[in-house]
Order: sequence, then structure tokens, then C-alpha cells
Amino acid sequence: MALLQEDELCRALAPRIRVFAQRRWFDAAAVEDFVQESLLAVLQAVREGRVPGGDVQAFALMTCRGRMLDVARTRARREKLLEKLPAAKVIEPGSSNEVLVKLLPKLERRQQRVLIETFLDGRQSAEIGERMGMSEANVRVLRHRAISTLRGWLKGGEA
Amino acid sequence: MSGHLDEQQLTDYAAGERLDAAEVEAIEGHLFGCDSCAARAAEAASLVTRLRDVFRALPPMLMSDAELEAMTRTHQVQVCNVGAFEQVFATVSPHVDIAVTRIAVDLTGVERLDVKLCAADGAPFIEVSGATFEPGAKFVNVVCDVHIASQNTAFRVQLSGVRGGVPVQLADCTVAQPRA
Repeated sequence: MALLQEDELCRALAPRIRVFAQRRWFDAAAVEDFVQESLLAVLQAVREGRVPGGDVQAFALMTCRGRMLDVARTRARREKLLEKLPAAKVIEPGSSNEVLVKLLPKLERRQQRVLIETFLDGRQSAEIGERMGMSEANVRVLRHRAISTLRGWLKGGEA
Repeated sequence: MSGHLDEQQLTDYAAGERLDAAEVEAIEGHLFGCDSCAARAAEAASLVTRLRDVFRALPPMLMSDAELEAMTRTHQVQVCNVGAFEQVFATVSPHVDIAVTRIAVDLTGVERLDVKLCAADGAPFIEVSGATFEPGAKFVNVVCDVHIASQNTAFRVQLSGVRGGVPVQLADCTVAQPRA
């Protein structure tokens, strides 16, 4: 396969693999490792003509699923070791995340709470619904609206 | 799966919502074959990642006196002193790094501590059940998000817990912006 074609393939596959990994892991470095290693595995198979039926996208998904369990096992061990260390993350002044922090209080209060419970406390919508006295479906709708609203504000340059 | 993924599905997927295996399989099968949905999913996942980063970067909700003292050496910290069932007036600057409500409350004999940061009407912003605290401490330092503290006309901190096996209300204090 020509280098140019490989480059195009990587551009097409990388975002999909990244979404796949971001759903499962919160650590940006782990996600990028997974993306790079999965891309390499796919490219290698393409070069060696090992892609069944030539369907590279389906093969990429299969590769991701196959690698996921191994990586999850390794990460679980590593995270257990790291969990006692204090979080070292900070929000840099002027960073895009600082803009996001300023936007959060502008959301409707129930939406704020759903985001906090989801992303700070790591709760699923069924549990959040129980705590907030609403259905799981309502929690999902609130979370979706919150995220859509934030996306709209970020695109509009609001802060 | 027929057609494109709807926005709600993409958000649920990106947010790590527990979906049934068949639904995850269908979503992922579609994402890997559809440029349009892959692009929308990438956008949703990127914002979810940023939200996780933002929440992970928030300071812990309670700080010991030693942690508070160390924090004041490296950050701009605004401390607001308040009695357990008192209302005080204070202007929280949006330019400080951290706003701390320092509540005078005796934790002697307390076995469990729950913290709720809420609006003046009691609607919660953040709750921590079973917070880590120093046994016998005479003050509780509650870290309040600066944006919550500075952009609301008032906020309340409620501390409840268990002492001697009995549920107790330990504090219900309010920090209000001074009236103009």
C-alpha cells in the first residue's frame, strides 16, 4: 500500500478508534496509546494482505475489540497502583478547559448536577435518577441537553 | 442499524453510559462505517473528555488545616469564616483560585460526615457522602467552586453526619453576597 493511502487510512480510522477508546478510558495518554497501537496493527494487516474481504473498517473495529480486553486488564493493574497518588492535574489559566469551567455554572442547575454526578462521581444514569428523583431516561435527556448546550456555547465563543 | 445515530445515542455512548451489549455493538459497527456519525461522535467524545478533565482537576471538597495552609502558599485562596448555623455576607472574587468556607463546627465523636454545597433554596450543586475528615476537628474547610461561589447571590453549605450512631445536623450556613 502506498504511503499516501496509508496516511488517508490513518486519518479516517484514528477518530473512530479514539471515540471507541474514550468511551472506555478516561486517561488521554492511554487513549492515544490505544489509537496508535491499534492503527499500527491494522496497517500491518493491510500490508500483509490479512484483512478479510478487504473491509478495513470492519477489521479495524474487530482489532479494537480484540485488543480492548488485554489493555483493560493491564490498565486495571496500573490504576490500582496509581490510585493512591494525589491527582496532579490543574486547570491552566486561559486554557480551553478554563473556558469550560466558566460555562458550567450557566447551565440549568439540574443539568449541572447530572454532569457532576456523571463525570466527577462516575455514576450511571439509573443511579443518578434515583438520587434526583427522576427516571433514567430523564437523566440521559438532561445530560444530552447540557452537553449540546455547552457545545453550542463553545462554538459561539461564549465564556 | 438503519439510518444515522441520533445525538442522544452518541452522547450516551461517549459519556460511557452503561448500554446493553447489542446496542454498543450496533453503535460501534455503525461508527466504523459512517464518516458523518464518526465525526459527530468524535466531537461529543472530545467534549466528554474535557468535562472529565475539568472535574478531575477540581480540588477535593474538604481540606485539612494543613492542606489549606499549604494551598495558600501556592494559590490565591479566599477564606470565608462562618459559624455552623450562621449567615455571613461576603463577596467572593471570581479571580481567586479557590474559595474556602471555613465552618466552625465541633466534629468530636462524629463517625460519618456528609457535605452538601447548595444554592440558597437548597438545590444541591455538589454532594459528598462519607467525606474524609479529621476526627475531633473544630473546623471544616469546604472548597467551593469559585464560579459557583462568585456567580450566585448566595450559597449554603450543609454538614450532616452520624454521632454515637445517631444522625445529626452539624451545620447549615449561608454565604451571601452583600446587598448593593
